[in-house]
Amino acid sequence: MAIDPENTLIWAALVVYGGTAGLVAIRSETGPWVGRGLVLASLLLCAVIALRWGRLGHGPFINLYEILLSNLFSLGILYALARARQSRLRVADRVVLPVLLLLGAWLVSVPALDSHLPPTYETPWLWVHLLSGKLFLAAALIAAGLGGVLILRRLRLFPAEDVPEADVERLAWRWLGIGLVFHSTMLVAGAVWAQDAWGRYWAWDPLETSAFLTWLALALALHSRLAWRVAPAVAGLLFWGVFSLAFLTFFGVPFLSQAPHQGAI
Amino acid sequence: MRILAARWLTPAGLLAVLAGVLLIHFAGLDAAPALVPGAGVLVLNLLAALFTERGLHRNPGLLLFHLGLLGVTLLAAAGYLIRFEARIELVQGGRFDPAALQAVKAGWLHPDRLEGVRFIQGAFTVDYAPGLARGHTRSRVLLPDGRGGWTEREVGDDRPLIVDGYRFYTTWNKGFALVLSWLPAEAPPMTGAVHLPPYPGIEWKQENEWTIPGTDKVLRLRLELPPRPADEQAWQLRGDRRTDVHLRVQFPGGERRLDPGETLRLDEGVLRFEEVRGWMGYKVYYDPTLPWMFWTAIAGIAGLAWHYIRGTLFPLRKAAAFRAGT
Repeated sequence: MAIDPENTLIWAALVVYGGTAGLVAIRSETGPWVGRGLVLASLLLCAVIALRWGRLGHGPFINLYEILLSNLFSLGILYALARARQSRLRVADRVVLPVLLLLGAWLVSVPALDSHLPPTYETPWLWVHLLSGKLFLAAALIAAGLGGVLILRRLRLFPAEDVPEADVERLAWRWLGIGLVFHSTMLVAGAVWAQDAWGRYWAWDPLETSAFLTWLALALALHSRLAWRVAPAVAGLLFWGVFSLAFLTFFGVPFLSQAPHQGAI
Repeated sequence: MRILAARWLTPAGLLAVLAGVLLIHFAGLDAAPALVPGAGVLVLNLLAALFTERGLHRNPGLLLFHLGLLGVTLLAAAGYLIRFEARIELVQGGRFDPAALQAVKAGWLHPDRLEGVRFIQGAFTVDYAPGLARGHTRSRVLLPDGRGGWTEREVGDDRPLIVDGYRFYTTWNKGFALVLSWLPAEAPPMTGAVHLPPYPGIEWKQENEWTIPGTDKVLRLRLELPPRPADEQAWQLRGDRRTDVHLRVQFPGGERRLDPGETLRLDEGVLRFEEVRGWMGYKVYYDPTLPWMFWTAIAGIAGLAWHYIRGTLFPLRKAAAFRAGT
């Protein structure tokens, strides 16, 4: 029986994610091995992307399998980098790792179909659009991870940590703000690309509408903190609301049609 | 002023915009009436906050972002008033003619300069990957070179043709046109093109009707093309002059199959089937605010990035330590 190297590597990455998430759930502290697990899993996924890229001649940009694969890689590596830079983010490991594991489980349940790169994808704006989108999703995941900590602590389902609640909340708001930076960049890059490719910078197609709703939700969350005194658990729900909308935009809306932008290709 | 600058007004305005977006999507409302109420509240709120909100004054990055948002909103509104959108099909060898534009949408303040736009459509090619997946479109156009001649340029995919601010984008819409000459008995001859439906999108129905000038007599024209390569193969559509085709003409009382160059004698005159050429469908777009909007948005995002990323990933205390040489 022939072994599919791409599938084998994905399963290896999932085993690493699962093992890391399991250890984080069992142990009371999260040591440097979590970061190493994240980096190892990301390297395995990077190898899958490289193999697929070499075989198809283009990056993982088109179908659901490719979008899940590339985002599982980018979320893992960006979270690892962020928590290496900001050690206080490790408090969110128990929330973020299960999300990555679920994303991985979804990935292996999706058929690994080959794809065709539309001619309008051969533009530098694709890279700006995709990279800023991945940075936004990673920032939203970090904010949601910290928000999850706030909610679980309120429900007394989360062990006491050495990071005070106020610090967790402040950090989450800042990551949501960083998310707004990259989401805005994603929208602008997408608009420039759409103008060059299809002769309009905005046409309210389902994905554009969903992305703009996510941007509005981000702005609403950030301004609700200025307008009212938002309790930590409510803030946690707001972060999850934004991440859920972002998740829907990335992995739901585009695949109701055959292509990320319905009818535009 | 205080009411306009109230902090609760911002979430209220954002919610109104959100409701507008949902109305656009689910109720099919036009964007302008759906978004103006919420955007109007936000613009007034922001203008008032610029005078009263100390938080904005203390954070120049945040101030720049909000000024950028204001600028983008106002430029988008200006663009809506100046904008021009249309579609046109141009046959190979045909000159751009504003009278042939279809589905025209022009803003109230659009300065019509289309009469000055000059170019000639050349040949084009469209690549198809196996599975009839559309690849690169390469459309050649001839532009005045300023010395009385013409210069060739290739457009397509992410490269529009830009003439006098008007942008011409190739589209999926392209096909073949029948070039016919009509030689009436007692009038000067005329030559023109009858466009057929898009190819290969509607390849099974490459036909159209043509009314003999000055009469109500209708001819039914059907193009017979050699079979194209199978869907499993890669191939290239060439929108160029073709002679490997036949034209089947149905006229009152009969039917004839013509090769290129052949004629059909009718009571009113003679119809000559010259050849088949390709036609390319373009989307025409004009909005001079685009570069301004882009740079305003970039400035705003740079301000927001300065505000958030500097403080989160590069805390001030580290910057201070760096300055102190530690």
